[in-house]
Order: sequence, then C-alpha cells, then structure tokens
Amino acid sequence: MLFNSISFAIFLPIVFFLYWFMTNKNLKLQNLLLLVASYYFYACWDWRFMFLLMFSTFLDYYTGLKIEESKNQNLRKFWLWLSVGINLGFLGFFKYYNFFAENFAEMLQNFGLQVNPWTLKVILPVGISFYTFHGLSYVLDIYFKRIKAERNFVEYAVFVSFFPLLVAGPIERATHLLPQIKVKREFSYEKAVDGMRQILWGLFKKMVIADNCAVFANQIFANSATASGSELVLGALFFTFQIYGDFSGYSDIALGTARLFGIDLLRNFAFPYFSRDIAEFWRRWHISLSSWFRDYLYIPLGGSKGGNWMRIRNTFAIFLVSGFWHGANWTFIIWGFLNALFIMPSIILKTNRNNLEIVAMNKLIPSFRDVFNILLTFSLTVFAWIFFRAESVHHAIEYISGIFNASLFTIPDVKTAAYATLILIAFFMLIEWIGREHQFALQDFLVKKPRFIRWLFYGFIILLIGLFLQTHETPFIYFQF
Amino acid sequence: MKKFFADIALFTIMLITITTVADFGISEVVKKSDLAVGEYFVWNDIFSKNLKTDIAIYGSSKAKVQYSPDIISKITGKSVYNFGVDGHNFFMQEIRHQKYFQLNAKPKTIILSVDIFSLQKRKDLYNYEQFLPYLFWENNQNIKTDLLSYEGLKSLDFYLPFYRYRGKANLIFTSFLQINHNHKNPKGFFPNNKNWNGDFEKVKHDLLTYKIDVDKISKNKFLEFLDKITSQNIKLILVYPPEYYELGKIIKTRNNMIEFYKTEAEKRKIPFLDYSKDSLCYDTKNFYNATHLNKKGSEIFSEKLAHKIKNLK
Repeated sequence: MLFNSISFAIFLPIVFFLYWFMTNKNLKLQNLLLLVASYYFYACWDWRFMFLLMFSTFLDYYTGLKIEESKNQNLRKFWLWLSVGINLGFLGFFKYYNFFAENFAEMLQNFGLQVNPWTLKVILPVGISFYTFHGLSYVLDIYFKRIKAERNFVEYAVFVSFFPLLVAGPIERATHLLPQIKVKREFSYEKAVDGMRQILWGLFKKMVIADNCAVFANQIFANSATASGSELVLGALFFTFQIYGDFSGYSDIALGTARLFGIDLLRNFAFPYFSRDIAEFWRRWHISLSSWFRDYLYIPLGGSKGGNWMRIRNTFAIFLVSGFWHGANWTFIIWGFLNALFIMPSIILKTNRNNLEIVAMNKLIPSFRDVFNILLTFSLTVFAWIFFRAESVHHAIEYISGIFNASLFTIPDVKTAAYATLILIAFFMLIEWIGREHQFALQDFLVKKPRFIRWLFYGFIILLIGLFLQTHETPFIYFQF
Repeated sequence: MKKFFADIALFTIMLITITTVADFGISEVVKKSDLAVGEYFVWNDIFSKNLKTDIAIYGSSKAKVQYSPDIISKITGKSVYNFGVDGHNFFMQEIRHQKYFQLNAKPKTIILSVDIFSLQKRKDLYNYEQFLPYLFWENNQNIKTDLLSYEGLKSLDFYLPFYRYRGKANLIFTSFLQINHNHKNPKGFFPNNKNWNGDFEKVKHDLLTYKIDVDKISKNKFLEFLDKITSQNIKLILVYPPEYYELGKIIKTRNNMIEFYKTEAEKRKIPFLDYSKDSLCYDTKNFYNATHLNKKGSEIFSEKLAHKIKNLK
C-alpha cells in the first residue's frame, strides 16, 4: 500500500476513525489497533514477509529482556550478538547475498578459477533495512543500559512496525518513540492540522516533483550514451530533485500521518539543498540514518576523540557503510566514498560544525558567500548522485565523461514538458526557501494570512498534484533499500 | 475534534468549488483546441444544440476523411454534416448518434458508412481525450454505461469535478497553445492530403491470417439501429466505401461482411451502395493507405456518391 494510492486514502481515515472514536478510551486497545493496522499495511505488499517482521520483532523483544535479566556479562554479550547476528544475517541474506556471490565468483575468476556464482532470486522484503535498524538500536540501547527493556510486547511491536515509518523510516529510537506509545494520546487540533499540511506537502513533493523529474531522469540516464553534455547535466539535476522529492516527500507523509495519531516521529530532512557545506548537508539529509550511524558506529569506533587519523578512518567507515546500507551495488559504495571525500576537508580542518544555524536566518535573501557555498555544495551533491542513480560504476563513469565536452554548452534537446518541470522545481524550491526556518516548508506558510487565502493556496497545491500526477502508481525509491 | 472535522468539511466544500471552476475553465480551453484529431469540432457542434442538417454521415475514420459535406451538399442541394469518428467502430458511432439525437433536430437522411471493422469493438477508449471536456456534464446514463464499457474511463470521471484531468497537465497546456482561431467549420470532414504510404506492402503477409471478430453487442446495436432509424421516417443509406482492391483479395472474410450488410439492408428495404469494386479501388493515387482515400480520392468518391444519392428515390 503506497502513501500515494487510493487504497491508502481509504485505509487512513478508517484507522483514524477507529483510533479516535472506537478505541480512544483504552490505551491497550488503541495500541492493538495500531499494531493490527500496521501489519495489515505491511501485508498489503507481501503477506509472507509479515512473518519475518513478526519474527524479527519477537527476537529483539526477547533478547532485549534477556540482556536486561542477565547478570553475567558474557551472557549479556551472548544475547546481544544473537540478536545482532540474526538481524544482520537476515539483512545480509535478503539484501546482499547475490552481491557477495557475484563478487566472490568474479574474484576467483581473476585468479583463473572459472566458477558460476550461485545466485538466488531473492526478493527484498520491503522495509527490512529500516525495521532491522529499529530493532538493533533497541537491543544496543538495552545492552549499553541507556533504556530499560520493554515488557509489553504489543507496545514494543508498535514501536517497530508503526505503519507510517514501517517501510522507509524515519529510523526511530526507543528513547523517542516508545514513551509516546506508552502514554495515552490526546487529540490535538493543532497537531492534526499540522499533520495534514505536512501530508499535503509530502504528496506534492512525491507526486509533482519526484514523479515528474523521474520521467526525464529515467529517459536521460537510459540514453546517456547518446545524450549531449547539457542533457546529462539536466538528467543529473532531475534525479537530484527526484530523490529529494521522493524520500523527503515520503518522510513528510509519514510524519504528518503519525501526527494525526498524536505521535511525533523524528525529523528526517531539514532543507538539505540549502546546505553550505557537506557536513551541514549530512546533518540535514536522512537525519535519522545519519544519527543512527553516528551513535551506533562512529562513536563506538572512537568518534572524533582519537585525533585526525581516527576521525578520518571513522568518517570513511560510516560513509562506506551508509553507502552499502543503500544497496548491494558498488555504485552506492562509491557514492558513500565520494561523500566521505567531500566532507574530509572540513573534518581535517575541524570546520564541520561551522554551519549549524539555518542559512540566512530571519532574512529573505542570502549573502553572496552563502549563495556560493550553497551552489558549490549542491554541485558536489549532484555529482555524487550520478553514482547513486547509475546502473553500474561503468555507466556512471561513462555518464560523467559524456558531460565534459563541447556539447555541454548546447541547448538540451528535451521535450517542452521538461521545462515545465523545471518551473515546478523553481516553485518548489521557492516555497522551501521561504519555509526553511520551520520543520517543513508549509508549516508556517501563509499561517498569518486569512484562512481563506491559505486554503486557496492548499487548493492550488491539490490542483497541481492532480494535474501533474502520474496515472500509474509510482513506488517510493527508498522502498528498495 | 469537532473543529477539525468542521474544518475538513469546509475545506472539502471549498475544494469542490475550486475544482468545479477549474474543471469548467479547463474544459472550455480544451474543447476549443485543435487536438484529439479534430473531434472537438464535432462534439462542440453536437453540444451546441443548434446542429441542423439534412444529411448526416456516420462512420469511422473512413467517413471522417472520405465524405466531403461540401461536395455532397453542392450536388444534392441539401445540408450535410459528417459525424465520422476516428479510430472507432459502430459501437462508438452509435454513442455519438445518441448524443446528436438527444440534443439536436433529427436529419432527414443518414448515410451510414460500413466496413469490415464496423462490427468489431476495440477494448481501449482510443483518443479518449476527445470525451474529457464533456464527461462531468454528461446526463445520459446509456452513454455513460457505453463509454465505461471501454478500458480507460472510471465512474468517478463522470461525478467528480476535475478528476478526469488527473495527470493531464500536458494536454491542458498544449490546448492553451493550440486554441483554434479558424472559424471555418469543417463539418466533421478532415481529408488527408498524403500520397500512398506503402504500408500495405509491409502488412500484406500478416493480413492473410486476419480474422474479423464480430462483437455480438455491436452487431445487435447495429441491427437495432437499422430498425429504429427506418421506423422514425428517416431515410437510411448504407455505403460500403472504396478500399484498395488487393485488400479484398487478401482478407477472405471481407466478402461475407459485405454480404451481411447487403442482406440486412435488403430485409429492411434500405439502399446499400457498394463501392468495394469501384474503379477508384484500383489506383493507389486515390489512397494514402489500403483502407482510406486521400483528398483527391475522397473528392471523386464524394461526387460519385452525391450523384447516386440525388438519384435515389
């Protein structure tokens, strides 16, 4: 069930109604409803994998309790590694098995041994990377005694599988979400309206920006061998906005939906394309994943405490793992590597925390320096996205080498609709710029104007969604991760 | 909670108002455009409720490109309008007939152009953009049911304002750019000036095994139509227009279809004018493909037909 589908438009009001009108007096019943709704939501993709989700949930619940109960440190370690091993084992099997099998066979071939890789037609269970990380953070937090193990299975299961975040995050933490699940939620008009606004903006990002950019990005990437330099640049730009619209759109819909149920999820995006350096970009892009890697990989590896070499090693480690997390392809690993390279000057010079505040705070127009820095950071990001989007490393290199020739200065030969999409992107970025001091662009937009004006604007956004939507359902990119 | 639901209700009302206004505006622009292979001209004339013609020509694209209202009118001295609908069989031609009869004065004569494809029914709603500006305002339940029998439309297209324009940004913006400022009414006739395209040579082999699948519902509709029109004191003429002669040699069942039309016409004492072996059929200079006359061919054919009609009792 996609957020941008008719079935979700029916599902959501039904669950909302049952939640606030039928089960609101009983917290246990309310949580049970959320759990059933979440499992139904997940089963709509592939009911068989629902059992994997249930198993993973039970495993982390049980090992969490065992870690807490065990007095013996070795026993605690045993339960921790059992959970980590099985979780990563599932993730590795479903996501990386073929990648390792193919690469192993290729390596043997380099030594003159001819072997056929024993690959399997493994279907990737949707959301596995996300719920596995939920579970891992939970058991790690118990192991490090940051939290107490949850004794109520239903509440724990809701934490793992709450439907807005189940398939593509944000990657939640037990410390943030579990307390909200354990207390009675009161309906808040402001929160619900805010949630509706965020859902609307998320749908706009996904259905207008991402899906329309995807049409041209797909065309140009598929025909990159014959495209001119300027068309290749345009293709990379379209993908840059596609992935942002797609993923941040999903996150907005997830956060907005959760708010309708009185639950606040972790913020996942904070206007990353207005970042002035790569470090700032990574504080604003897929925040829940970046902070997960920071807390469970970077810091345990020593973080920035051990001097420059350790900082450099640890930074490369988290970016490479982050790249690999996205998928079993060298393109993702190189994408991670590039980002590590881009961030390196600020790590070495210790300027990575220079831009912590919002760009051009309380101003409408940024300074020339900010504009220059934003454009430079944006260009580096676009360059790295080429690897992320390409089918293979060879494709990415061919794509990039196609850019740098005389055809870069020609007018791109694309359909008129591509220019219309550029106008939509300009409108989108304008609204994002105006709203950059808030949680999401529409949060405060026109809020001080009369309601009629604000609603007219929302009506206009809905019309744009209607006009520009793709008539077939388009899944979110991050479902594949 | 009450406030939340009250706001949702109010916003929904406002949204319906906005989408209805947008629907009306967009529909007005789209139907004034040159798009949808000129079908908007015909639909607009039908929906104007002022269409008065002595002779109405029905049929598929063959009617649309082959029967010149001006030539037929000049020779017969009667007003003529061509209702031919591109890419569709009799099933759709009958939908157009229903709407025409519902809103306008009836003609004295109907010329129904038939061919081997007339009683087939395509699954998809080809050129479905032609219906968009009118669907929300459609009040004929039979037409709604008939249109929904094709793949492509949804019931909501008839009842929710703006819904049918979902994902149609391109159509709408192109319509803005292609608003027709030419006030000369083509009366549904869109001749094709091209020369013989030679495609026939390429598909000749495939046509050997071509089978004409008659759709039962279309066939029943066709027979009902013949009965109904003749009972309304409207003169009905069936015409089998010229086709490139080799087509007849290749598609074996073609003659059976012609025989069927002839028999049904005779049963009802309807004139059946068969041009399947006319001299026009033997020269590729008259055609742009095996089943459609080009402009030159259509002018000769229209003249021949007009003289024949004039002399019919």
